[in-house]
Amino acid sequence: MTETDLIKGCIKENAHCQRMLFEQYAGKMMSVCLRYANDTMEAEDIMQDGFIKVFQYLHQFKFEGSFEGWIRRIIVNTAIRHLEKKKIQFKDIDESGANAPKLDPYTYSHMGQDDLMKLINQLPDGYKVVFNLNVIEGYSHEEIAEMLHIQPGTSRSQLVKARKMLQHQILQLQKIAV
Amino acid sequence: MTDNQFDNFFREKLINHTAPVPEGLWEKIRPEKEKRPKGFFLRNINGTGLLVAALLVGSVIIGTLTYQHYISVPATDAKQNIPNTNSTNTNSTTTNQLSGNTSTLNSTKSNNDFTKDSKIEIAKDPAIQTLAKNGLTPLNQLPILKNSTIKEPQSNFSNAVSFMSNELTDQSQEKINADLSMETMNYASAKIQPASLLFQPSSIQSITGTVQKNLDANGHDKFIKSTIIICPTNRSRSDFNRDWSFELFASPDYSLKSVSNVSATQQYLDKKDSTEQMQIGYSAGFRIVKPLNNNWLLKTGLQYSQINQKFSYRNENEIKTTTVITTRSIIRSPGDTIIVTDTSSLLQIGYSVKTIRNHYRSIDIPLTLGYQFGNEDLTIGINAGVVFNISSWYQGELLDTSLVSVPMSKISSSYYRSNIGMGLYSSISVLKRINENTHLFFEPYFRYNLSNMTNAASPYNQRFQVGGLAIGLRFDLNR
Repeated sequence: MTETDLIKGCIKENAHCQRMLFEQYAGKMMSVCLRYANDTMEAEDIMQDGFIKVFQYLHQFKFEGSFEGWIRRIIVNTAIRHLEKKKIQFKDIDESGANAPKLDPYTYSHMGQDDLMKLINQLPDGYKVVFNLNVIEGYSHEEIAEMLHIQPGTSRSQLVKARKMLQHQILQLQKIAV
Repeated sequence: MTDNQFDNFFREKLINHTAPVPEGLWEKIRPEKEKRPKGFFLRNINGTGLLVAALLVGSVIIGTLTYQHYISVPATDAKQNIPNTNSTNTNSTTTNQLSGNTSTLNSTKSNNDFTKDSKIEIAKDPAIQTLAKNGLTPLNQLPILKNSTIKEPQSNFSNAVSFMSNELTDQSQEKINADLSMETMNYASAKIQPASLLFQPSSIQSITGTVQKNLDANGHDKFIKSTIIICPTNRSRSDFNRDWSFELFASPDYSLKSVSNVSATQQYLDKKDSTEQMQIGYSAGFRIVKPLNNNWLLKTGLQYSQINQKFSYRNENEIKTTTVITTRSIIRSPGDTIIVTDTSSLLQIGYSVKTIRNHYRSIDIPLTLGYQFGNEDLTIGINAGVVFNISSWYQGELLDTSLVSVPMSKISSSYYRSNIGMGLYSSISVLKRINENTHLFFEPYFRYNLSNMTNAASPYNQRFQVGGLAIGLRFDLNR
């Protein structure tokens, strides 16, 4: 069954197609939810709400562009709506050392996906959202600013600080390993 | 390293990353239309279901038509038990006179050499008078002949009747005074048999034919069918069925759970609902079937039911500690090697998923009244009645109001009653004869429990409604 057939089946409310679609994308979308949420329970809530919207608005999908991208956008938007309820603050965290540490790629090239997920989850909410939106999802700072109702400059500074904090954490891990 | 390299590394690693999906998430997500119960019997109706339904309806129609045909055809078996005398006794005439307390049977003008004008006086019995007044002259009057006078006693017929009347009067008199039930008739007929040994075969035909003709003339065909038949009766025509049957059955069941809030929070109910998933259960038991007549029957017995439920609970903040021992060799100078052993512990914080099968068991006594129709091979019945619960108990685990999984057993099930009282039961049964005394039956049924299975201490009310398909064997007893 092609992706188009699967989508059309879901639009016709075929239970089998709906189940297949969920199973096909659930793993990736759960990973997205975990990157935005603070814990697995919250991630599960985002996932639940997100997929309900997917099935609700599936008939609006125009079969243009990537279907996975379409689902991902819905899940990300749902995650942002969840975070808005918590009123995340895009505060600046004072850190020692104004400059980001210099890291050679080999210092983190061995790190696995789960390690990176943990590092991201340790970031403050504001850093984490902006880093995810910009670096992983590929949104521009203007788009992020619109989505989060902040200034593009705020988004940029949050990203820089997020990146710096991640690099510090990687360095710390490197020291522990040595 | 540039920021782009750093970002690209993260993007490439995480863009296609997948995470394990929590169990049961689809149950929460799947569209509402799919979740909504469509009713037990209408669930998943497709082409096969429609075909089965059509066959079922067809069977009902055929069964009904067969039954109606059966009713409209006279009881030929019964009539065949009475020889047709027209061919042997063509000129015989019978008159029946009732006068005061005396009834006179004239059996005269026969071509047979042994019957001439024999006149028999009938006993002065109120019961017989009542029958006579109602225009009934059954053959069973023969055993109660009393003080018979035979004008021309020289004939064989007269001798036979005289012997028969003397033989039977004493014993049958008391019974007739009590009632005129089938037992009396049969007893009388049993006594007739020795007497009839005195008859010539042709004379037996003559008597029976004479009486038959008399009865036919009075339009008592219906009465004859039910009482006069002294040969083995057609069982299906008897008014009272002495059969018993015994049923053994087993059934896959599907339960529908209904929960209503009493004092629990909505969060608790949602969580409880998400942790429990109904699964296929089963029932098994036996029933004794007592037919009241050809159509109505009473059933009772004992049955055991088990409702299964999957309980999935996720325990957050599960901590797993692993001790890691690392051994290294350090070479300080040629020939000088030190082995260093480091011991560290790795702490993993995550969640654990616990999956347990809960069982709700009950022992019940069903009591149903059924109406069945059809023919000997295929019978369709409709049953309705009540189910009395003897004992019920819940075993497994469930969430308490603090969202912690707690075990429950037959003894420590504080929220659930040990007896849920009465339920309503209805079913449709289809029986197919597989040999002389055995039927295979299929009985889709639905049980509606009238009471909650939870007690007053429970923060919610819960009850199960059960549907199933009982498949079993019915053994005819007393045949």
